[in-house]
Parts: sequence; C-alpha cells; structure tokens
Amino acid sequence: MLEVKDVYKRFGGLEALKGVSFCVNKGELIGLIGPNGAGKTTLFNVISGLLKPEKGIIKFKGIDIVGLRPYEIARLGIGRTFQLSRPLMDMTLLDNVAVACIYGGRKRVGLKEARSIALEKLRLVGLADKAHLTPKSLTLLERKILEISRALALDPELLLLDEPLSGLSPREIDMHVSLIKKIREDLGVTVIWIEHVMRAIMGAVDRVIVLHQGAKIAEGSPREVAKDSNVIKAYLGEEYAKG
Amino acid sequence: MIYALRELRSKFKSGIKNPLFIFVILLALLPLALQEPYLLYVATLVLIYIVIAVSWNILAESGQFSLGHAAFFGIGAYTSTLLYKYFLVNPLLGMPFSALTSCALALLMGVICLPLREFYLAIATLALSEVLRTIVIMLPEITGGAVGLGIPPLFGGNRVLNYYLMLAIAVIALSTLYAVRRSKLYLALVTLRCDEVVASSIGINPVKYRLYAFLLSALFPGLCGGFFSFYVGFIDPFSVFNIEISIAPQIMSVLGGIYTFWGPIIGALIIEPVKEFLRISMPTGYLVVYGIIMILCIRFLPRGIMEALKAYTGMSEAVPVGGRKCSR
Amino acid sequence: MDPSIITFFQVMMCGLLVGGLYALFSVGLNVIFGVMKIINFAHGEFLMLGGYLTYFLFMLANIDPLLSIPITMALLFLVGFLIEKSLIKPLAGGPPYSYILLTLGISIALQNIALILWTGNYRSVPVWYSALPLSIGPISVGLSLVVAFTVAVILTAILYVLLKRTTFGKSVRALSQNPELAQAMGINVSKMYTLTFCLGAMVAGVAGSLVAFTMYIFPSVGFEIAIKSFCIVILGGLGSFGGAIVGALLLGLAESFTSVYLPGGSGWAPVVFFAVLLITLVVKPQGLLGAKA
Repeated sequence: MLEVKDVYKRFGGLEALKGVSFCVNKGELIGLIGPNGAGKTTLFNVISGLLKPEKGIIKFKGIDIVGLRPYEIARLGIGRTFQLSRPLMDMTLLDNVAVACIYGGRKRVGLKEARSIALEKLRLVGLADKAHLTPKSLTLLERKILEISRALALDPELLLLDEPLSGLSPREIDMHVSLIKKIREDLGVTVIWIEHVMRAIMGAVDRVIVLHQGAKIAEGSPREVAKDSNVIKAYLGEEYAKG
Repeated sequence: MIYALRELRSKFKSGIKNPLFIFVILLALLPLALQEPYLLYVATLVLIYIVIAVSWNILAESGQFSLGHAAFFGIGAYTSTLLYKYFLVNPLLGMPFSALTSCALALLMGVICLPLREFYLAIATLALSEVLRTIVIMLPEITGGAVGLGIPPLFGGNRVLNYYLMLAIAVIALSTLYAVRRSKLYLALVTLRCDEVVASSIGINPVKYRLYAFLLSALFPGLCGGFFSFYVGFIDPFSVFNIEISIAPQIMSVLGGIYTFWGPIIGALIIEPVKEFLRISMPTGYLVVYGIIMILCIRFLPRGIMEALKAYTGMSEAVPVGGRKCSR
Repeated sequence: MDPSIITFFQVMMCGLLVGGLYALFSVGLNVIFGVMKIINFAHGEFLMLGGYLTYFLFMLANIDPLLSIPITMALLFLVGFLIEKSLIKPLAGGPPYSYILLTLGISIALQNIALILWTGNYRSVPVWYSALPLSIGPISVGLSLVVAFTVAVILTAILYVLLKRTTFGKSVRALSQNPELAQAMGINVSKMYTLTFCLGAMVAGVAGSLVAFTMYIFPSVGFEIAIKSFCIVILGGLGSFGGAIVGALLLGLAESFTSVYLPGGSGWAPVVFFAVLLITLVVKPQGLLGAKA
C-alpha cells in the first residue's frame, strides 16, 4: 500500500531523514518508534505532503505522491493526526468532522449530508452528545478522539497517527489503544503509529520500524526489535519501556 | 462549484421568514420615514458600508485581514465612470463591469498575498491600495488625476430612486453572502482561518479557497463603488481610494461582532450615522470618533456586540463563536 | 565635474540624509516588534507628537529643537508609558488582529485630536541653520538636514550600543528570540514590554523633533511616515536592526531618485517603493536582512 524508498530530507545543515526505506502492506498496524529527534514526525510530514524530500520515492497504492500538495494526498486517502492535537476551535465538533467529509471524502457530498455522516462518526466514538459544542469544552482525550474522527472522516485507507497517547493517563491510554485497534479491525484502515509509550505500542502492532537520527536502524516484529542491539544502543540513556 | 450555486438557490427560496427578510422590508420602508434628502443620503451611505463591512468580514473569515478594501471600491468607481466617459456606457450597465474589474483586482491581490500572513498581508493589501491610488493620480489624462472627474448623477440626482437602487444592490449582496455563510464554502474558509495545516490535511486546497474568499469579498464593494461615483456625481482618488473605506468595515465588524453575519451590519448601522452626524457638528477631526470607538471596542468589547448579546441571552455555543483566532 | 554627476551625488546625498531620519524612526518600530511581536500602527503619532512638542517649545519658549530633545524624550516616554499600560498591556493573549485595530484606533484618535487642537496647517521650526546650505565640494545640502542626520546617527548608534552591550539590551534580545526562556531566566517580561514600548516612543518622538526643523509637521505626518516605515522594516526584515537601517536608506534613495529622475517626480515614489516591497514580500518574505522563520 505504501512504499517509501530512499527518502532524504534536510533542513539547512541538518539531515532529518537519511535514506529511509520501508513498505507497509494493506491492513497492517505498524509502529514507528525512535528516540526524540529521530525524524518520525518529519517522515509523516513528508508522506502527507507538508514537506518535500530532497531525494526519494514514495508510492501510495502505486501512485507517486512526492511533490503532490497536502490536500491532494489527503484526498487520495491518507489521513493524519498531529502530535499536539489541533482541533478547529471556532467550529462545532460536528463541523470539525463534517468539513473533512466534504473536502476529503471519497465522494462529493453536500453540507447536510456531510453533517449527518459526521454525526454518525461522532456517535461511533462516543462524542455525539457534544456534537454542537466547540472543542474548547473537551478534555484532552476527547480532543484526541476528535482528531482521529476527523482524519477518519476522509475515509482514508492509510492513517498516520502521531503520538496519540502523549499526555494521557494509563486508563485513557488503554481506551485509546483499543480505539486504534478497532479502527484497524473494523474499518480495515492501514495504520502507521508513532509512539513513545512503549508498553502500549509494542503489544498492539504487527510490525515495528525504528528510526534513529534520521535513519532506519531496525525493522521487525515487536519482540525482534526489542532485542535488537542497535535499538537498545539508540535508547540507552533514555527511559526504556515507558508507561 | 456548481454544487455551491445549487445550494445557494435552494437557500434563497427557503429564506422568507428570515430576520434578513424582515430587515430588508424595514429598509425598503425607510424613505417613507426619512423625507429629508440629507438623511436619505446618509441612509444610502449606511447601505454601502453595510455591504462593504459584510464583504470584508468574509475575507476575514478566511483568515485574511485586508487593509486595502478601498482598492475594490475605488476600482469599481473608476470603472463605471471611465466606461461612461469614454464609451458612453450607461452606468447601470457599467456597474456589473465594476464588479468584474473588482474581481480581477481581487484575484491579483489574492495571488500576491498567497504567501503572506497577518501583518504582512495587511500591509501588502494597504500597499496595493495606495499604489492603485497613486497610479490614478499620476495618470490625469485618463482618470482626471487628483482633481477628479465630474459625471452626470444617476436618475438626475433623485435621492429616493438612488436609495432603492442601492438597496437592491445591498439585498443581492446580503442574500448572497448570507447564503454563503450557510454553505460548505464557509466551512472551508473558517477551517482555513483556524488552522491552515489542518485544512490541507483534510483535503482543502488553501490556494483555491483563499482566492475564493478574495473574490467574494471584492465583488460587492466593487459594485458599490460603481454606484457611488454616479450617486455623488463626482469622483476623485482621495475619496474613493480613501483609507477610511478600508478601515471602517473593520471597526464596524469588530464593534458588531467579527466573524458573524449581523455583526458588521450592526456596526455599520451604528457607526456610519454617528460619523455623519459628527461630521456636521464637528467638521474638523470628526474621525476621532472612529479612533475612540475602536479603542473602547477592542479594550472592552473585543468580540463585539453580538457576543455581548449572546452572553446576555444565555445562548449556548450552537453557532461558530467568533473573536478568538483558534488557539490550541 | 560633469553637472549630471554632481546632480547624481546630490540626489544620493539627499536620499541618504532623509533615509537616516527614517532609519531612526524605523529602528524604534523594529525593536517594539522584535520584542512585543506587535505592530504599532500608532508609532507615527509619537513622531507627530514629538514634532508638535518641539514646534511649540520653540514658538512659545524659544527653545532650540536640539536642546528640547531631552524634553521631548521624557514626555514621549511618558506618553508611551500611559498608552502601553492602559491600552496595550490588557490586550495580551487576545486575537492578533486586536493589536492592529487598537493601535490603528489610537492612531486615528491622536491624528484627529491633533487636527482639532492644532489645525491641519503645516508647521515647521525655522531655526537659524534651516536656510543655510552646507557645501561638500560641488555638492550642497541643507545644513538642517545634515544636523538632523547627525543627531539621528548618534541616537541610532546609542540605541545599537544599548541593545548589544547593556544588560537591558541583552534582556531585550533574549525576549525577542525566546520569550519563554527569557521569562524562565527571571526577566520581568511585563516590565520589559513597557520599557521597550516607551523606548520606541521616545525615539520616534526625537525623530519628530528632527522632522520639525527639516520638513513639516502636520497631523498626519506621522501616519505617512509610519506607513513607509512598515514597508521599511518588512523590506529590511522584521526584527533586524540593520535591516531597518538598510531599508530606510533604500527608501530615502528611492524617494530622492524618483523625484528627480522620473517624470512626474515624487508622485511615483510610493509606487516604486511599494513595488519593491511587494516583490520582496513574495520573493524573500523575511526581508533583505531578516532571519529565516
């Protein structure tokens, strides 16, 4: 589904991504981990079109997406969330999701139809009763859920989640992880998930990709990666197995 | 885009019992109450400013804060005037062309302003407006220069007929912009304002919608400009490219409630008559009222009257709340 | 020497001198933006007030503008203080457009109050050195302009030293680069904001004094110069001290050259400058000397 080949991204003198390559198959739940500054969010930004890599090929469903504008990539079926959740504060929850339905969805829908679809999606995640409020009144967990609903409103085939668990309490983490698992199982969405909360991600994903200082240093099942000496070296000095 | 037009039409038809409809009826009956021609003149000005303020507000809704709206008004004014002067085009026919040139200018401005944000955008639009004014002044052979041009007034100067013409323009403008507010285009604009990155990530083309916003907000001020020169029978660059025309809609929108539909209207209804009244009683420096209102408004009522009304009537946040740039 | 070359240098000289005045004004504006991240649309009115103050001090008490500069500085500092404390500070944390509108409002209010109090008549201070030309070789320029330029240069240099060498200056720069860190290191952000604003007002006031005896003072003089100054600081790069100076000199030169060499004269000057500004905004939005965002 997603093919990333030899991607390089630099900012001035800093090489944020050095020849990153990997593949993601349809329906997989992939974990993307690595110490801070490894380039994970940069990778997401490159895939979703916010940044243009200096070198490299990225193919989504066989289509070359490097150089496409972010909104075109969204319409192709890649949705994403952001590290610090960014709800649209001046709009109701309903409209937050509806606008994604309208502009990013598979088919053209009108406002009314989009709002009813949005209501359904909010109902699925349990936010329907707050549909007419603005995100100002939401808790952190609810904002993150809203963020995911909004990305899902695109009917995406690939979902990029950027540290969805940061700042959540252990109970909230469990709730959020089961939501993510549900997305993969019930909706069949392929997910790439950046995370620092190891215990949550290692138990949930099919495969793990590890980045360190812009390069991929390991790839494999959670257990393989956890034992990989390069990975341990990269994380040495950091709190390992957080959460 | 076709979808938007279809939606607009259906909204049109269902809007009869609307507060806007009632408002228009009241405005239509106004000349019966205001017999004095000067008052009718003020009322016409109020209508013009209502249209400009609501139009400016739409651009602000997309996050683009323009300080150069006078340019649209001015170019509209000169279009209809010059079309008459050189091609003897009837002003009523000339006015749609005013709207056209205004839109063309809006596209130009919009494209120039694409990479710009906030303060830079404000200054760029101001600069463009000033450049246009300077160009007009520096080409007296074509535009009459700083001295201006005189033209025969519309309808022979009949204030009542002119009022109704302006009212017709205002009705078209307000119903269109009202319908836009209820359309999906509006959601795109607000999303753009709140968070451009998020907007991109959900499929909104920022370039397209920023330009749409510029177009929509320039169309009617251009039309008003086209009307205005023939209304007063005279045009000169200092009055139609006046920076006041750029600043007034902002004060009106902020006073009434920025990012709302009725806010700019309320603002215009309050400020313009006050200004005109002051102009008579205090010919020098009457604009000080603008400054004072602006200061007091921002300081004590930053979200405008609409917000205060909402708080007073205890309405819940059922509609998009204006005032704050979206914060995390 | 060839007369056209003389003219060229004359024009250039004139442009640079005027540019120096613009520079003084612009660096003040620039510092306010750099620290407070707000654009003060009322900055021009500080210049205007300084100009009128200088004028009246001269007319009523016969005080030479150069001598009244300290008075101007003190009074404008006070005006800046009052405005900042009562109007600007309470706005912290609000939407970005509110600063634009507030300072615009202050600008309009002050301009019109000046109009009411002092009429729209052009004022200027006729000092003994106003009419004297200064000859540098074949080039002659007005002595008053040279004096004003000298004062402007001195003051700008003092400002530069202030910002680069003193503790105050370091705090200012820390604040403009990283407000959170600066605060964590114990800098009183609120007090610094006020001081910076007052400093900018003070400098603008002096610029006004200089304008008073080299050009004219009228209610909207500040606004006109302020608009040019916004363009200057954007052209030079918002937040860049050197950029403001470069931009100001460029504007001075542009105005000077267009008024002499372009048919139609000074009328085209704003177009030329705005065009340059717009091109800069599109090509290199952070300005000539600005840092990449």
